Amino acid sequence: MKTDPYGERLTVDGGNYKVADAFDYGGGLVNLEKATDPGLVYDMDINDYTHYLCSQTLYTDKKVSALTGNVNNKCPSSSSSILDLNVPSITIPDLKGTVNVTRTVTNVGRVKSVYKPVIEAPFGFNVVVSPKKLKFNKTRNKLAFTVTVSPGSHRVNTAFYFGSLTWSDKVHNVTIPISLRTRFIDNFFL
Amino acid sequence: MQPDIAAPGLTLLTPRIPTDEDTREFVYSGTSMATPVIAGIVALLKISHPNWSPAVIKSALVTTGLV
Repeated sequence: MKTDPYGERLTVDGGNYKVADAFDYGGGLVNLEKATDPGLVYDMDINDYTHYLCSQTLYTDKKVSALTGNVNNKCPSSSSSILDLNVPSITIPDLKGTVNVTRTVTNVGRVKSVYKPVIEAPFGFNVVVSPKKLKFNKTRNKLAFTVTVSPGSHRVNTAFYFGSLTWSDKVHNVTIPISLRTRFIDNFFL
Repeated sequence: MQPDIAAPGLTLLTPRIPTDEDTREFVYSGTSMATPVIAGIVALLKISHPNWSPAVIKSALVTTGLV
C-alpha cells in the first residue's frame, strides 16, 4: 500500500504531499478475508485496562476500583509501563537507552502451530525479539514475548522512524507496526 | 497507534433515500465513508466469531492490513 496502483508513493491529503507513514494508515488497508483468520491476536481483558490506568500516575487504587466497579481491582505492586499495554502496535516516543516491551499473543488459528518473528527494524534502531519461536498447543494458546529496542546508530534527537514485527507460521503473517523516536536531549532544553 | 487501520474513502457509491431532498448525491468521499466500511467489517467479524472481544477484533484488523 506504500504506492498507488501506478507506483506513485502514497501521500497525505491536504496539498503538501508528505509521504504517508504508519501514523496515516496504521496497520494498512483493511483486508476482510484475512481478518476472519488472523492466526494470532493481541487480546486484552479488564486487567490489561486496569494496568493501563495504573501506569498513569493520576489513577490510585481507590479510583481504579471505583471506575471498574470492583473493590478487588487494584494496581499491581510493581509499577506497570504504559508501553506494555497489549495493543497491536509498538510506539516509543522517547527512546534514550535500551527498553524492553512485552506483548502476549493468543492463538486463534490451528491449535498446534509454530510462529517465527520477522523484524523490519526502523532505520538505525536495534530491535530484537525473544523468544525466537512461539510454539502453541492444546494447553498453551497464549504466549508472551519481549521486544528489546535500543537507539542503535542514532546519537541525536530524531523524528519518528517506522518498521514492523511479523509473526509468521507460513500461513498467517501477523504484523504490527513499530514507530520509534529518540529523545537524548529533553524537550525543555530545545 | 492511532489511526489503527485504513479503509477506502474516495468516491464510494452509497444507497440513498429517494424522497430525502437533502441528499442529491449518490457518491461521497472522506472518513464519513471509510468509517462505515470498517464498522461493517467489524459487524461481520462479530457474527462469524461471536466470542471475540473488541480488542481481538481490532487486533485482527490491524495485524492483517495491507501495508
